[in-house]
Amino acid sequence: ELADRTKPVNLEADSVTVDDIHKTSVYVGSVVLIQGTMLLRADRIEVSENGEGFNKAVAYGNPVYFRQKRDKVDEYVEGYASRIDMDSKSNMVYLTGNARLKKGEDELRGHTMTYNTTSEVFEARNDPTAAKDPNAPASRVRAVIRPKVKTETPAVAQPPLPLRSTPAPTLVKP
Amino acid sequence: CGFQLRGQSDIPYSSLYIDGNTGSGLVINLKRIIRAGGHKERLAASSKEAERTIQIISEANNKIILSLSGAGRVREYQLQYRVKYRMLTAQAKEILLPTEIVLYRDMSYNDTDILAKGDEEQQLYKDMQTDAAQQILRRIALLHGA
Amino acid sequence: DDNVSLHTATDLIPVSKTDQEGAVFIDADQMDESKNQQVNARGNVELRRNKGVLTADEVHYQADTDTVQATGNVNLKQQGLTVTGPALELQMGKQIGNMTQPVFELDSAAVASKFTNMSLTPRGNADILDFVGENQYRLKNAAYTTCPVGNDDWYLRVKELDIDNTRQVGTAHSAVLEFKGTPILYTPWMDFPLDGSRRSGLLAPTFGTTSKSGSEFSIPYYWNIAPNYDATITPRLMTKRGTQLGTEFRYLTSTYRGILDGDFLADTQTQTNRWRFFGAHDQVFAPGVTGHFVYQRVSDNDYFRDLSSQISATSLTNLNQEAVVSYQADWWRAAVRVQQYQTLQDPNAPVIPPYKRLPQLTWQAMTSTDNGLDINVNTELTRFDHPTLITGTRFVAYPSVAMPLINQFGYITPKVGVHYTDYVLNSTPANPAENSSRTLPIMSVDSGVYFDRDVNWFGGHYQQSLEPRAYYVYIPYTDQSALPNFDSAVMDLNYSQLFTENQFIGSDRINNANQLTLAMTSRLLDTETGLERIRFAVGQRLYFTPQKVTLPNGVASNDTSSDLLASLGGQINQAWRAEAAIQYNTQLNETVRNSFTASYRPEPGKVMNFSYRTISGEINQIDLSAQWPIAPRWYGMMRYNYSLMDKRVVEGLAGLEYNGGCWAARGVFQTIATAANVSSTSFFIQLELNGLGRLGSNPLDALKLSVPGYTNSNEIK
Repeated sequence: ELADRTKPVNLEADSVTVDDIHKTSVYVGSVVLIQGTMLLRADRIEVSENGEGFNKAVAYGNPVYFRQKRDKVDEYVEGYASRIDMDSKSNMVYLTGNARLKKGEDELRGHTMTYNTTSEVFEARNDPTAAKDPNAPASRVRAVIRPKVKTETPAVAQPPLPLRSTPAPTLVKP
Repeated sequence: CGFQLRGQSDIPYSSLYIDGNTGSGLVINLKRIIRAGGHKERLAASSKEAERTIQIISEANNKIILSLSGAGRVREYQLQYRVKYRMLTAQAKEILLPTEIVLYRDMSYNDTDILAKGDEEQQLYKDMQTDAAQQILRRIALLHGA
Repeated sequence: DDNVSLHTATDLIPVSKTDQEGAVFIDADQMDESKNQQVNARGNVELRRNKGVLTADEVHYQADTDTVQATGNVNLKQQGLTVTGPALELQMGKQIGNMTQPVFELDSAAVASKFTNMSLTPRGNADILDFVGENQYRLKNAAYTTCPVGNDDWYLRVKELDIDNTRQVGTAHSAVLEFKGTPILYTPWMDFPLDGSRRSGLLAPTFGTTSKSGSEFSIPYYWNIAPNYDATITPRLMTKRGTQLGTEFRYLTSTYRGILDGDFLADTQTQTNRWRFFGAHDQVFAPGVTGHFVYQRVSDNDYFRDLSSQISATSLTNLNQEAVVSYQADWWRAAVRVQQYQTLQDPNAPVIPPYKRLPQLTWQAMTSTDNGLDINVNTELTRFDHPTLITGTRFVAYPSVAMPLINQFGYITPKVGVHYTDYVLNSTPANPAENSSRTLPIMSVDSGVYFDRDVNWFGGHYQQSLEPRAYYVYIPYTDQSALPNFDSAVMDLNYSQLFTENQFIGSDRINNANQLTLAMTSRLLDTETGLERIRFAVGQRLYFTPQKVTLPNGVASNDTSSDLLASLGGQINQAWRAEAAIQYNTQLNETVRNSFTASYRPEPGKVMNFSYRTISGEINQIDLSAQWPIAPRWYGMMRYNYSLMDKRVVEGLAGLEYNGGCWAARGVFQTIATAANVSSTSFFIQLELNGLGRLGSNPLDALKLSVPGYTNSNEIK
């Protein structure tokens, strides 16, 4: 949700190496990052901060798992990818490497994806290089979407015309 | 010359059910032959109880002009009787593919005896129905034996 | 923990209601989601839904309205329809939407197999395709054909074409038929089957010429009053006779159906009004109670000879007018009938009109008792009426009991019955008569034995049967010369008659009998299929006392035996069928009647029939008919029925048919004898468009009647 940005960030990992000069820290080993309803679980996360605190994180995993609750809707968005980049300033999440995104009952798969956490809008793209490599499997983006037609009464199919059959041929006439 | 008395009766099954419209001469004939000689038990009341069911798929009578007199009046008709039937097991599994029997009878005709010729026509159709009934049962007996 | 055992779910998981809309699967190179929950996909997009598959360059799917917009070589396949076009908008669930410049094709596989093996690929294009509900499409400015792609021989250009894929019917509003580029027909309304079934609403103009009415042109108008009522009004212009108006009204409900059909012509040649009426009605009043009503009448004796060119009509002499109500119970049947005929006299061959039966009551029963007795009762009460001959009422009752003794190799069936007849006659000065009755016992014994043997013949193994049969009948003689003859005549001598008690059909004459019929039948049964291949039969009846009973002004004969009957023939193999039959008078050593028929039908479209028939003193005719491919796509048809006795062609027919892949054109020339030394010749041309209907006069009926085994060229695989 939008309020996550104001929430504190806490991180757990097996080990961490901090580089104060470049203001980066690298967490390694079943790393979990939580900020409000947003959760990120990966094998390795590199976090870099600017003055006002956390603004960029790059997570690697097999796959990296991302989850966040949607704003004002009791529904979660979940994402998987080999690499997930998060930019809190632009509220963008970048998933690359057989990325998968689930939003309610809808599901999306593709090579690279972007998801805007404020507008809750995603964008997915296939792997352009695969198109050139003939023996690589075709890289495509796949989506499964459940129609959400408002529950007005379904259109009553107009009654089929009663079947018209011609009289049986036994009525022989000259 | 090799002929012996027919050894095996035309009704090789313990019970048979005839599935066809009861008014049809063929169905009445089949039932009569199966029941003949007091073997009422051979005629099952429903396809469930019967070891085999003979299903009459379709019957058709057709009359075509065979020859005209020099004056263009009909002199001969050919009556055609066509019946399509198959045989099912008690579990309604088809074990005899639908086959068709086509029989022909020629009949002379003249306009003055139209009433008599109408009765004669019915008699010939009855005769073809009896012939078809015997052919059906004969075929089933032969296939059962084979 | 208990291990989870996997077992296959045998029944299909029913698609739940929510799944009814079904999930939408989208596959694309690139996809994004805009604000209002609309997914946009680009790059050879494929969208799949339980009702269809859509492919396009770009697809926008709006989840909350379940609407898809597609642009860029759009291709949609759903339920028997494949349509391509530049752009599409469709609410997939409700199937409401439209498509521009559609090129459509109906699933021809389902079409061809269902009704005929006619090759049909219903396809076409249009300006706009509207989806107007499940399986309902409307095409604006459409072109429709059933020709395969690449063959544009004919197109139906329609302002508005409705396709109903549920009822498999296409309805065209204001359509122009274009054949090889030239428009040949305009019709304001027309419906046609999409599944190749016979019913076609296209009622197109017919043109032809006949010697009796000159060239004729008729254009039917089809009025689709209601789903189960329709009418066809056909004005028919004839150069020699003027305009005839024909109407046909048909009605059909669950309990009754019928047809009312009539024509009217102010005949300029005969300066008379000539009309025809035909009505037929069948009804089920209650379970087992059925009614059948037929009424036919024409204005004059030569009506059919002058105005029709079909043998089945021109050869009619007696037009049946009948009403029957019958009840069928399980072992008995009762019927009330009223029947009379309009007799059309031919001056050179006058005919005595038949009796009227006003009314006839019949009651028949057939049942068998537990101890194996077959009981049969026929009763009939008929009041016979006639303009000139004697009239009266006749009651007939003929109960009989038979005891069939049957085992696997033979049977003996003794039968005994009493035939009682009573006449109450209207004596007139012209026909003096007094009432009389007749009671005759009828006894018969039928017996037969079956012998079988296996035999190998031409490589196939068969079972040959030998079935001798003996049939004895005893009926004492009683003088019946005083009795009238309402409905009796001598039956043809054939195998069925050899084993009947009375050689007179009808109830006015019962022949005296002390006779024995001996017959032998031998059948060759194919042991694999059990089908009867060839049948040989011979039979004759021996009279131990001479036949004394005759029809009025008949001659008693003291022959000691009937003619000998012999026949040999059957379906020799899949292609050949042949039969020879002879009736030989052993007293005078001459053949009374014989026939030889053979037909060769190797495959559909190849038919040859030959028959030679003689009835001494009456008929001596040769009959040849054939349909044969004479060149690629060309078929020739012919019939030559020549009466050697009358030295004239009774029926001649020559026809040519060209099959253009998705259409067929036929031309048929026919000459038939319609009266003593009068014949009528006619010429038909017809164009048939596969699956759409037939244009031009209809030689098909003539061909099917005159060339047994004839197959439309567009129905030959």
